[in-house]
Amino acid sequence: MSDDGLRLIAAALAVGLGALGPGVGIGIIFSGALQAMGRNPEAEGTLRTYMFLGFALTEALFIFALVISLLIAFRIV
Amino acid sequence: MRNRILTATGIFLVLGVILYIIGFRSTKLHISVVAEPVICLGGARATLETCASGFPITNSLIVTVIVLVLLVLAIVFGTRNMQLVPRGFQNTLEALVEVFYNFAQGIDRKNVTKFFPFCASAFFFMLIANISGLIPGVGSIGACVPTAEHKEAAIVAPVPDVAMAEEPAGAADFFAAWPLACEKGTTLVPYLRAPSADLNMTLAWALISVGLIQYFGFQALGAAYLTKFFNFRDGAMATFVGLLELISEFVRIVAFAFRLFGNIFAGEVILVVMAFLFPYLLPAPFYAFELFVAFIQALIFAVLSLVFMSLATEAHGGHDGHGHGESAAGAGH
Amino acid sequence: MEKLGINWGLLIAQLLNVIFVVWLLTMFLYRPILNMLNQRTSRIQEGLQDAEKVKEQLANARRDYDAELAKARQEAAGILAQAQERARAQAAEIVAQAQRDAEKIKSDALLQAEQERQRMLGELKGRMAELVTLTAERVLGAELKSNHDRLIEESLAQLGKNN
Repeated sequence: MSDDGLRLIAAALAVGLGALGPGVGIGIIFSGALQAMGRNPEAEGTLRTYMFLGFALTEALFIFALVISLLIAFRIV
Repeated sequence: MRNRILTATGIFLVLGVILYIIGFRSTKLHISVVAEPVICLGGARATLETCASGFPITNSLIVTVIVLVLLVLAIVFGTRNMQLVPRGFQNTLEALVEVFYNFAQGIDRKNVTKFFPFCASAFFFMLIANISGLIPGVGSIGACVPTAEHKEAAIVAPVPDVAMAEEPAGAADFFAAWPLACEKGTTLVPYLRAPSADLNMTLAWALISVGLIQYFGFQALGAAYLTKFFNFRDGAMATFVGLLELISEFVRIVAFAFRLFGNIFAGEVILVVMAFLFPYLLPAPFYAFELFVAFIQALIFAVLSLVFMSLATEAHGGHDGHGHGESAAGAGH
Repeated sequence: MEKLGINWGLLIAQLLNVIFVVWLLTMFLYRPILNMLNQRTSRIQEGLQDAEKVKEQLANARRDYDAELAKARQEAAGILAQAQERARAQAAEIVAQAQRDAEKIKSDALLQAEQERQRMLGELKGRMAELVTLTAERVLGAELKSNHDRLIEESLAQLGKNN
């Protein structure tokens, strides 16, 4: 296996494994937000705001993984 | 109706398979993370993706200018003679602005006039910029730039050019003989590329957004805003939390920039790969999904800016956790 | 960073572009449109208030009109009643006058007739006496002289009673 091959595998693993956690997390966030909205439709505005906030914070993890993956793939580190 | 849709889909699919077998398919897969320069202003091209000297007029910069022109045209035609009873395009623009204004009001009623201009601009600009990447021709019409002589300079970047060198000679590019096709040894540099698929643009918006968040924080709280980051009075734990907050501010820049870039660029990659695998009918659902992503990412950028600005202007108080509850109540109205 | 395509020139260009976009949209889109929306809101509120006012005025006018109408009707009824009263009184007076006139005419006529009768009776008496005397003078002539005057008187009285 060549060096470049290993690099590609590392990049793919970084982004793939990095997507696992945030994927589950985002699912939980939206499910929780939808349940809350269903039970308490009046609070939808507040819930939407915090849903997006939580979504952003969770997705940030995936963004880190993506950045690391890009860094690996483009030989920056 | 349903039968008709099924029939049309079936006919299209059969036609696609036939065309694919005949050879109407792409054998070149070119993906570039970087927005390539179309012209190097006052300089020469070094590689496919960089200029040796001069200012690179990249394809995403061209589309940025086009988006700006579109915005100016929309403004000119929408607000040329404003009437109290709106009609036509003015009505559309007003509805868009009003919907977003009400949405922003739902997040932060108190400071909406301060936050609204930037967030709404981000939303409208990014909406057009994201969708511009989905227009047919963007990313597929361009100039052929020789790749061969720069090969050693580019040091085999892993993704850029998968020219299918391993393919058997029989499966040469079907379109190679066509007029306007790129010759062997050259690569297509598209004239147009979605601005959101260029890190410069997303990073610029992210920098301005985070900068404005800090600005509004200072404006609302004065020097007390700094205690959010440098809190040495409440013990080591508070100091550590403050440092984390400080780091998270920088992380926000990266997150903002890479969220938009990643989503839009990944969307383009998916479309290109799907079109490469089977160019007929397969990319259609992904187009629909990318349209949705384009909208949702523009919205997310705007809403997150709004929420972070709103949080920055809230007094955070001595006790952590409590401050967030207050901001929750504040943001809810 | 070069590999990710971040280029200082392009980044600065995009930063300027962001500032330009925000400025452009703020000055020429949001401000006029939000002004317009505010204007429209105030206009609509004004309109609603005006409508409310007009409605109130209309109600007032209606009430005034109704009151006026009732008053007028009452007055008309009063006038009518008065007129009827007056007409009745006049009619009664006229009837009374007519009765009086008729009475007077009747009594006058009676009086006149009585006078006439008396006058004619007197006249007749005179003529009768004359005629009787004349006749008696002619029939009896010279023979009846001494106590025939008393007989004539008697027959005349008889005649007057018969009449």
